[in-house]
Parts: sequence; structure tokens; C-alpha cells
Amino acid sequence: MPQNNDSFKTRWLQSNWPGFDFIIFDCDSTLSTIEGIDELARKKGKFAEVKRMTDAAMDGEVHLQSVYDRRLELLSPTRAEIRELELHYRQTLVPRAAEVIQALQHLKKELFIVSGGLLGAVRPFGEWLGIPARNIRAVDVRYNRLSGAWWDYQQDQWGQRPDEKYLDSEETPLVESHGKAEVIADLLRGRSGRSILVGDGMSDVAAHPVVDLMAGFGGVVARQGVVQAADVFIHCNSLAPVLALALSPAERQRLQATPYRPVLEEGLAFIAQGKVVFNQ
Amino acid sequence: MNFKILITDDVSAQGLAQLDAATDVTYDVVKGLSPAELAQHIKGYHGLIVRSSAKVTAEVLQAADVLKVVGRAGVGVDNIDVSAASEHGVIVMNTPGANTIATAEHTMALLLSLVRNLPQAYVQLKAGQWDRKRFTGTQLYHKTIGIIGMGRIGARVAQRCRGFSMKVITYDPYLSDEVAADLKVTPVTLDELLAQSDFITLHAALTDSTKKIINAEAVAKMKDGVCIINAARGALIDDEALIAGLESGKIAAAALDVFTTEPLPADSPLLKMDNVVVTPHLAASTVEAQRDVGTQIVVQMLDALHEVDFRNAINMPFSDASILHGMQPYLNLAQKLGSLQAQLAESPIEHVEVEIKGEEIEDHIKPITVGILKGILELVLHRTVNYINAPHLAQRHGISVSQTTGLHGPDYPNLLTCRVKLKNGARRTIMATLFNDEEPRIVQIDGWRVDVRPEGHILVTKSHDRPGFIGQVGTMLGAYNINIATWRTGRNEPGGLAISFISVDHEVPAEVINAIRKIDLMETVQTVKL
Repeated sequence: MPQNNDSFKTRWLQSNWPGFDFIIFDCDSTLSTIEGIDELARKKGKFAEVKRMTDAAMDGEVHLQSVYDRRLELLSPTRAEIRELELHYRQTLVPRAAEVIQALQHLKKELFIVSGGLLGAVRPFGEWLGIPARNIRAVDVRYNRLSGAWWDYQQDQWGQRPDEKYLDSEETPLVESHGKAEVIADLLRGRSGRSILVGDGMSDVAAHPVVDLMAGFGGVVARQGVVQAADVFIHCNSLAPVLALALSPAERQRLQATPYRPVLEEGLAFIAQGKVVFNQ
Repeated sequence: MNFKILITDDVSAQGLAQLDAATDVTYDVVKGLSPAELAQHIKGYHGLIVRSSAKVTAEVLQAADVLKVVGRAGVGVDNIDVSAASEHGVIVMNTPGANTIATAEHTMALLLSLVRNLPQAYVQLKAGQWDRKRFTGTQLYHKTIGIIGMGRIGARVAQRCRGFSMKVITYDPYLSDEVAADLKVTPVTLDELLAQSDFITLHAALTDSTKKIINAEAVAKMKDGVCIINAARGALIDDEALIAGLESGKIAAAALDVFTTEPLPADSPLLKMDNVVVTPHLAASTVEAQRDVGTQIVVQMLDALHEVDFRNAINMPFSDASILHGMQPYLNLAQKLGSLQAQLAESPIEHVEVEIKGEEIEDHIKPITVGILKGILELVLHRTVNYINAPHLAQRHGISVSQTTGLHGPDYPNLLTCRVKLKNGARRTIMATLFNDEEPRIVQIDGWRVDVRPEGHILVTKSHDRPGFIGQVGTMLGAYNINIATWRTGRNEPGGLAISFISVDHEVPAEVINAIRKIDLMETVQTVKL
């Protein structure tokens, strides 16, 4: 935090610590335990091939951009398959994700999801969690309008055939290794307040400069690069610590008389147990 | 041309009056035909108007000789073999708008009857019993209704339910999140709908995937005490599962306007259950809907026969005449593109890839693709191919189709690109554009930039770009008295391989082509007619 030389932990412990206003979540391996594209691949029997590509991208060895289209071309998912992925996200929610989001919204925090996943799955998943669609960014794709039973015009009144296959992905910085920073900076432009980003990947680390705090989440996968580069690293498989980290002491107090008290307590307990490492 | 129309069901007097008023149409009304009888009758008729009773089977369509349009006065087309109609190039149209409101309103009537026991209370009171305790109802307010199928009727029902402050959830795999948001309904999966709904109402078309969508397995997933309403198609519900659910109390009540077998047999168990409200397929039976359905199908059919408009055609890539007319030059160009591909193909075309650019056409890739296929197939099959049967014939002849991107061509305001893959593995990419909305041009063929008007007889040559070549070909054609109209050559580099499009005034005889082929620098010569 450029304006203050005290460590985050020192300030977080102070009674006048103001808390964060904007909480930005990654999706895959952060809100949900799965990597969406890997799951698509598993369904199509191409898991090993795609997993290798994903890992290389997440560990920062290969540029995301080149990997992105190649993976999707290989899988060529249908619209229905991408929608099914949304269900899968819901069924593999990271512990306490829903409660943390509800508690943050109870305190009128503004929440975002910025993901390199597929918008067709991430957006409805985020909306299901209560995050407004306008605050969700992910990669939109175009579908091959000449796939499936394309000549069945009767079934096409909404123009959203489930059997349409992937054609290509939109141009977005999100498919590049450093693209998240650009998208987050865009979202935060014109808003004043402190921001925290919660994510598991190197693309989240790359967005570090545009947020006030980068919290690495290792509940699903702990990547060495992220463990080292994040301001704070969460080692437990629960998002409860995010609530504790994001709130000011006064806000924590306000949760005492609400149903969200247990999840806050749980988060604080994880921090007390040393499951959250403060890097400086 | 004089058109003949066969009508096999009741059509409103207003509809028939429209037919009487048309000067170039004669019609016959013959009711109660079996498919076999219909197959015998259908010859000589250009139009066929049916409601739900006549079955327009593949045999009927096979027997038809000049049939162009089958019109369904109503919505559901499950009595028409649409894919057989498409293969025969016959338009199938319905009148989706005309009874939407009637059906949505009847659905609400059924729903309210269910929750307030109107039919049961009516019967009791008429029998002289003033019983206020037995018929305590439930409120719709803040209850959840699950709508299966969010088409025109589903959307109207949703709107009305929201008027009652109900929570509306819907299952419709074709519905986008954006449209759902506009309709203010929550899209859910079928399982979620079954689990969350206090009321379930069906508004889906009857297809293979929706047949018996409410079966025993689905009933098991429902809330205890759920109510079911069906004013769509009887076969959407598995009767045995429904009856079992009603008997066990899992399903509290049902209101049904449609049945697997209609008329509902007098011994149906459904008629004996107090918690089942039934009406005899009345949903579309309003004065307004009957009038509108009859006139609408007649007017639509006349417009389609006169090729003025094809609205509500369900097996055509466009139904709006304004789109068709605006698109006509592009569709003609698409056909020529297809025809050129087929004429230049050295072995059978196996796969067609299409890419289009340009504001006016970007939303119309399907009609343009059908145009390309029409161009290819008419040449390959030597038969009439139209916008309805082209995709079906392509599929049957093993020609697959896909949309593609990244076939970078020259930068024109609009660009139609078609790449074909041939059986011998070769590929050919041809790009075309329309200048000023009316001037068609072939602008690129494989790597060569050209500028060719696709019409008339054209010699397409590939040759080495050396001095004297054009003169030799010109001399040879002159010797056979063949006049050259235009000559366009595209080359990538001086001295390389060049492609020439030589437009000539007459067909070039085979002997001339053979003579030209022998010219020194010539690689290939093909002749095409566009």
C-alpha cells in the first residue's frame, strides 16, 4: 500500500482500520473448487491435454492468450455444455463463499467477479451468488450458428440454440496473462475506495498493482508463485478469512447481531490459527 | 397462375370470405380425411390448410405433386411431419400469434379454478348445498409458479402471474439470460423448477425431447402438494405418473385442457378425481382467437403462394418479407458463389465453410448459407432446390456446413466468403462482395485478387504469367468466332501463376477448350456458367 509504510497486518489490527470497499473475486479455484475449462475437458475426455495447457498458463510459463483459444477450439463446447458448467460451479462452491458474499453485501460492500473463465457460466453463477451482472467480467464467446440442427428455424426464436458449438472467443484482455489488471482498473475507475482482490492464479498476482491488497487463496490450489507474491495468503479451504480481512473493526462489530457472526468468527479463528499468512 | 387450396378442418367464416375474395384461388373443404385419403386427395393442390385433426404425414407429402404450403390454423404442428415437408421443399406455417392471448388467459382461468375450487363449488351450490368450509382455497400471492417453455404463450402467462405477485421461474433451454431478464423471470434447470414450484404449468411445443417431460421421475422431484396445469399438449405429461401422483397426494391437484387421447375417453380415471379440473381443449376457443386464426392462416397462405411474404413459416431461414427483399441481391450472390464453387470443384464437395462480414448481412448467415447450398446443390443434383430443402438435401448428400472466422479477405463493406473442402482433400476459397447494394463481384479466389462480375459464360484459366499468353488465347477464341466481353487477370507476382476470368458471349465448345488447354503456358482451363 503505497500511502502507508506500516504492514497490512499492523493496520488491520488497528481500531481505526477502515476496511475495504470493493471486493473482487476470481472464480475458478476461488469461489468454486473447479477450473471450468478443465471440467469441460473432463466431460469430453480431453482432460490430460487441457490440464497441461491450463497449468502452464496459470503457473505463468505460457501466455494465456495463446492457450485460451487453443483449449476452446479443442473442446468446442456447445452452449448447453457451457450452461451445465454453471451448475457445476454451484455444486462445487468453496466453503463459506455464499455466506461471505451475503455478509459483505449486508454491509453494502460492492462485489465483483473478474475471471478468465467463460462468461456463459461465470455470469449466471455470479448472479446466483447475488453479484450483479454488471460487476461480472469473464470471456464471452461466439457460437457457430451453422452447428447442430441449424436449419431447425422453429426452435430458434430466441436465437440461443443449446446445440450451437463454440466458434471463437471475444477479444478481451482477460485471455492475456496481464489482462486482469486492465479489466480491474477499468471497473474501479471512477470509484473511490479501497479494493481487495481474492484469487489463486498468477493472473491475479499480475493485477496486484491496480488493487490495494492482493489476497492469494490456496484453499483449492496453492501455487508457489502466488504464495510468494500475494500480500496475504489464505491456506485454509474456506473463504471465511476474506470476510475477516475485508472488514473494519466497526463493521465486524456490526455483524455480531446478524446471522453472519459465525462465518466472521470462523474467519478470525483461521487467522488466529495462522492459516492466513501476511507477507511483507 | 391459379392456385388450389384444400381445407380439411373448420376455418372461420371470415377466413373463407378472404378466399372467396381472392380472384386467382379456388378451394375445396373436405373434412375428416385419414392420412391415406389425404394422400389421394392432395394431388393438384398448392396449399393445404389444417387444424389439429388432419395428419400431414410423410406419405401425404410424398404423394403431393404441386404442394407449396401447409398452413396450420393454430400453433402446434405435431400433426405435420415438418422434416418430411422440408425435404420436399414444402413450407410449413402456423399462426402463433392468434391464440396466444386466449391460451394464456385460459391458463390463468385453470390456475384460479384450481386454487379456489370454482368448478367443485359450482357443482355443490347448483345441487343446493351452501358449503363454505369445504372449499377453502389458497392464494397465488407470493407463490412460485414454474413455467416449462417460455415461448409466446409462456411469456404471456409469466406476465399475468407477475400481476398476481407470484414468483416466476422457468425452464427453457433456448431462453437466453438477457431475454429472461427482460421477461422478469428466473431461468432455472428442469430439476430446480420441479423442486421449487408450487404450481407447474406447461407451455412447451411437443417434440421428442419434451414428450412426457412430466413423468414419474419428474413427479418424484416435485414439492409435496404441487399443482399442475396443462393447456399445451396432452402428451407432455405421462398420464400414469400424473394419476399416481394425484392418488398419492404428491400432486395436490391438476387442471387440464389437453389430454394424451382426445376426446378424453369417458372412462378416464382423471374424470373421476375431485382434485382434477378439466376442460375439453378450450384454450384457444375464444371468439377473437377463432376469427383471427382463420383469417390469419388464409392471408398468410395467399401471401406465401404469391411469394409476397412468408411470415410464420417455421422451416424457412427467413420469414419476414422485408428481410427477404432487402437480402435478395446477397442471396443471388450467395447462390452464384455456391454455383461457382460447384463448377470449379474437381471432386465432390464435402464441407462448406461460410464467413460473412458487413452490417447488413451479419445477422443473416443462415439464409446466405442456404443460398450458397442452393447454388451448389442445383448444380450437383440437377433438380430444383429451394430455401426449405437445401439444408436437408445437403445433409443427405454428405455435405457438412459450418461457420468460420479468420478467412481474411480484402477490406470491403460487405464480404461473403465460402471455402469448400473437396473429397480429394483440396480446398478452394472464393470471396464475393456487393457494390452499392446491387453490383456483385467475385473479389478473391484462393490467393488471387480479382474483380469479376459473376454472370454469363466464363472461362477460368490458370496460366504462367508470360508475355503473349493473352494474345494466343484471344486469337484462338477469335478463330472459333467467340467474342470476349471482359478479361480479368489476377496475379500475385510478375511471372508467377495467374488466374484469368474470360467472359465470353457464347458457350465455349469442348473442342475449343481442348485447343486452349494445349497452349504452352496454360495450367488449367475450366468453363463455368453463372
